[in-house]
Amino acid sequence: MIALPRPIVAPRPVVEIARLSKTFGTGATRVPALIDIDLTVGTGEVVGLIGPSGSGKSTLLNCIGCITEPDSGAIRLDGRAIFDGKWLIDDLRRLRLETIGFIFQFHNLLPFLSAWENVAIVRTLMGESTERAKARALELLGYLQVDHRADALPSKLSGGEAQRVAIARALANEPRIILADEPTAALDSERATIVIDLMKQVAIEREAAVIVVTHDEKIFSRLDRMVHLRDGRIVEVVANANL
Amino acid sequence: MNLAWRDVQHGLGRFILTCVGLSLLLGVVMGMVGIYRGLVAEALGLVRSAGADAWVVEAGKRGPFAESSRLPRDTRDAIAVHAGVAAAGAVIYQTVEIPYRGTNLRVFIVGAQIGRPGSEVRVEEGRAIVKSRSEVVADRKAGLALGERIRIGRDDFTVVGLTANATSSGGDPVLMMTLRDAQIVQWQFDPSAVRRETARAAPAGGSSDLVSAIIVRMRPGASPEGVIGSIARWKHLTAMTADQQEEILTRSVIERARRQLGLFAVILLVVSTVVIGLIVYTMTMDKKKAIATLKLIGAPDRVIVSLILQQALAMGLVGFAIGAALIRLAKDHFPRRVVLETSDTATLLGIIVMVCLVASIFGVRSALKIDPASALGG
Repeated sequence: MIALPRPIVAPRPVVEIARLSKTFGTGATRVPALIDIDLTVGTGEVVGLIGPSGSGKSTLLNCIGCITEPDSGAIRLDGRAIFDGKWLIDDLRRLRLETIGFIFQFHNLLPFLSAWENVAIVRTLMGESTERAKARALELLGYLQVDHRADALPSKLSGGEAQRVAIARALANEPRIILADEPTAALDSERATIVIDLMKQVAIEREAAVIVVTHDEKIFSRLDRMVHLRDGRIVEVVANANL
Repeated sequence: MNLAWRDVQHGLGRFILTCVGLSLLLGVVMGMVGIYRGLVAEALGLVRSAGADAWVVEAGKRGPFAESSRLPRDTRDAIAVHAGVAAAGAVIYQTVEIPYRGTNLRVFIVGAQIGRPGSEVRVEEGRAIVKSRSEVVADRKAGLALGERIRIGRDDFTVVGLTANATSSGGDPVLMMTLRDAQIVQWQFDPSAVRRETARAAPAGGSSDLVSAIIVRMRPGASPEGVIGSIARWKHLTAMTADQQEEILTRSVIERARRQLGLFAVILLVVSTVVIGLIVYTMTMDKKKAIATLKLIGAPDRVIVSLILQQALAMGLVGFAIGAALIRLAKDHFPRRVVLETSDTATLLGIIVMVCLVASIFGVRSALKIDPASALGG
C-alpha cells in the first residue's frame, strides 16, 4: 500500500465553475442536463461526482474537459476562462493536451502501442522528441511501479497494470486537472483502492485537481469530497472527514 | 513514433492479406494495360519489322493487314525501277491452320523474296532461309523445334530457324518462308479439287503468281509522299506510307480491342477505388475508440488524417508492388503477348496514389466526425 502524504499547502483553485447550465435538444425534447452548477476544486483534492444515470455527471465532466460547450455560466481552468467566445476548437484541444489528463473506465490504451508508447505519445503530440518522451514515459511507469511492463502491448497487461499505464498517460503532460470516468469500475476492490490512492498521491505531489465520476461505493471513503448530482443539479456536497 | 506503422505492425497478418487481395486486383489492371500494349506491339510488329517506307497494295484496298489484297508479282519489278525507290519486295501474308501433333496449329505465313525488303528476320536460334524450297523460320510461340518437319498443304517443311515476338495482329505466330513456297501453300489445290475443276473445264485457281503487297524502300532524300503520289497514278494500285499503314492497323484492327480493354481497366480501377475505400473505412471504424481517445487527449486532426492516409497509401503501394511483381512473373504465361512498359507502370502508380487519396475521403470524414466524448463512458 502506498502511503498518502498530507498536503502541506492550502489548496489553490484549479477548476472553478459558476452558474453553469447546459441543455440538450429543443422544444418537446429539451432536456436540461446541468442547471446552475457551482463547484471549485483545488490542488491536491480528489472530488467525486456521484449520482444516478442522467444526473449530469458526464456532461459536467465533458464541460470541464473542454469537449462540450455549456449554454451559460463560466468555467476557469487553472486561472483561464474557457468557453468565453475567444477559444477555438483547436485552442481547446491544445488546452486539453497541455492541462488535462484523462483516465477512463476501460483504460482506453491504444492497442497498437506498447505501454511506454501509450504514455510517450502525449509528449510527442506536445512536440517533444520520441527519445525524451520515452525517457519521461519510463520515469512515470517507474513511479507507478509498472515499468517492468514497458514494452508490453495493452492486450498483454493485467487490468491493474493497464489502469496504471493509463494513469501514467494521464500524468504524462503534467496536468493541472485529472478527469477520471469510472476509473475503478472494472477493477476488484483491492485494485480499486490502490488506483484511487495513486490518484490521491498524484494530486498531492503534483498539485493537481482530480475529479472522478464514480458509482463505486468502495472508493467513496478515499475521496476528499463527494458532489451528489440529480437531474442536473448539485443536491449535496459531502466532505470526507476521514481524510 | 509513427502511429500508422505501429497499427500496421499490430495487425500485420490482416494488413498483408488485404494487400495481397488488392494486389490481385491491381495485377489484373496492369495485365489489362499490358495486354493492350501487347496487342499494339503484335499488330505493329510485322509492319515495323518489314522496315517499309511505303506499302503498295491492290487498288481501293487497305491491305495487306486490315483486308486482303492481291497484286501480280511482276508489279514489284515495275515499282523497283520507279524514281526514288531503292528496293522493293513482294510479300504474301496468309493465316493457315496446319495439322500438328493431333491438333491444329494456327500460324501466320509470311512469304518473302529472299534478299529483298520484307525477308529480313532476326533469327535467335538456327539460321535464316537459304534454300528456295521447304524451309521455314518459326516464331517460338508456335512451339516448333529446330529441325522439326511439319506438313503444310501438300509439302513438308523443315524448321531451320527460330525467331521471337513475330506474330500477326491476331497473335498467331509467324511462319516465314520464301514467296514461292507461300504462293504454293496459298494456291495449290488439293488433287481431288484439281480433278473436279478439270472435269468442268475451268482453270484450276486461275493465275497463282499473285502477292499480297509490295514493300518499298526509298532512296535517301526521296520523298515517300512524292513516290506514293506517283504510284497512285497507276489506277490499279494503292500506295501508302508506313505511318498510314500503322494508322490503319491501329484504327481498324485494334481500336475496338483497345477501347474494350481500356474500359475494363477503368472499371477495375473504379472497383479498386471502392474496395480501398471500404477497407480504409472499415479500418477507421475498427479504430473508432482509439481515434476518440487520441482526440480526447488532444491529438490534432492532422495526426488522425495522417494515420488514415498513410495506411491507405501503404496498402495501395504494397498492393501495387505485389501486383506488379505477380504480373511480371505471370506475363510470359499468357496466351497473348503482354508488354509491361515502365511509363505505363509509373502512370498506374500515380493513379493508384490518387485512388488511395480519394478512397480515404470517407474514412477521414468519419474519423473527423468521431466525438472525443465517446472515449469516455466505457
